[in-house]
Amino acid sequence: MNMKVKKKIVGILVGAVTLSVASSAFAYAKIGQRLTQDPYHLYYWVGGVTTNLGGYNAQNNANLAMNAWNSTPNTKVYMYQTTDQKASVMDFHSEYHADVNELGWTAFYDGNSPCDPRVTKWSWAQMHINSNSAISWFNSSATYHDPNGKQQHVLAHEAGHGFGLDHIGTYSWTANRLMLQTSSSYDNYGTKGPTDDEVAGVQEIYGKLY
Amino acid sequence: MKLTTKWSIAGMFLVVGAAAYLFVGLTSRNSSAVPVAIDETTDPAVVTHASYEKLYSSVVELYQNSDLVAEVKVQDQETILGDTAASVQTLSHVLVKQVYKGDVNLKTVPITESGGISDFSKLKGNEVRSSGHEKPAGIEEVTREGSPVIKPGYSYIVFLKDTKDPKWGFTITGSVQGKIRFDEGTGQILATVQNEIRNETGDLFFLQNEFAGKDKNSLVDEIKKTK
Repeated sequence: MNMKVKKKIVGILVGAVTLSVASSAFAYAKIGQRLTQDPYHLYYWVGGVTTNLGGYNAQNNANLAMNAWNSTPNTKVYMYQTTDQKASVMDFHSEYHADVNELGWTAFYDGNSPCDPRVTKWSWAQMHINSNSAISWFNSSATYHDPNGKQQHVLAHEAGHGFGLDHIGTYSWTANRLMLQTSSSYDNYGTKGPTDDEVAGVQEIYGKLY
Repeated sequence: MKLTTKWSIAGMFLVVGAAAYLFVGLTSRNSSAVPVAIDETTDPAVVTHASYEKLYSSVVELYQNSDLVAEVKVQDQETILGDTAASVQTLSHVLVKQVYKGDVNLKTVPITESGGISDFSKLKGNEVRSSGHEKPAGIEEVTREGSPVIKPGYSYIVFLKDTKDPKWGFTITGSVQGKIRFDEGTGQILATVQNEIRNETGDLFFLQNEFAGKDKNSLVDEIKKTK
């Protein structure tokens, strides 16, 4: 093997290492703790979401978001809808908050009290969608413009927090990940549920099914 | 040495250098040390996480996307509780000391933020859970991404959006981004988000990462450059 070929091989190897480092640097992030039970055959509740939210079927969008999570391969995420709030470990609500920039938020509860998810496991989580949020906004450069799709994205994102996933990347990163700090992956890719990265995240938190 | 060989070697160094930069810059997420961290929270604090429509990464962007940029001092505030323990907003009434963008005649403005002190005894909702308990007990401070709301008696430089609703007044540009506290006596800018949270959230709190510990005029100078 002559020197020229050897150098080309080294260059390719170095390039491959660079790419793997770069991709791992943008992989999923964990909040810290997790649901006390694996979210497998547990319940979620959408009774706190206004059915008609600004013309959008928010309860249906919450169900679609959870269906997307239930469809993740080889994860311990599979939840049933319940009308009994007491039995639920993932509650969905809609609420009016003045800050239209805030599309949704998630709070974590240990028993009846909110807890710090970085240090405390939570027995249930509460996902909110802001009924005042600018769901109908879209960046002029956005490719996807379905408000229901965007709402489903936000609900799936908040459910991701409920499962223990944190935000990833910088605000400006435009990769296709559900757990970016903004909803840009919907605007750019139409993402309405977990990607392979979020699947890997919940697999690490709760283990694989098989 | 042949030219192609030189280019190959240069290319390899470039790739290795880029890999090193990515590894250090991104895996550490925030390598800049911020010298000052003030814990504004006197009640137990909890962190809630949100999804945002738009976030920013520079003073220029905050300025351009704000309706009002000003130095303010918080006079008083009220907590607006929702139906659940973590559903709290805070409406602060602030004295406008200096306007850098917006109506220079403003004397006081209301600012509404998500988060704040949640006194569970005042909740309207019923938090019945499988344990059979009803409302939780105690008081906690609900923060967004670890960022406490602005507090009475303290001074801030704020970047604000007008809600056009007199009930709510203004909101913070970038939700948790467009506010930074400074010591009125020394003029020093203070970080209000814990170091470990800022290190984990990339450039979400870029304002504190860049300016905490510095004199507030360093930020004011940046603001004036964008005018």
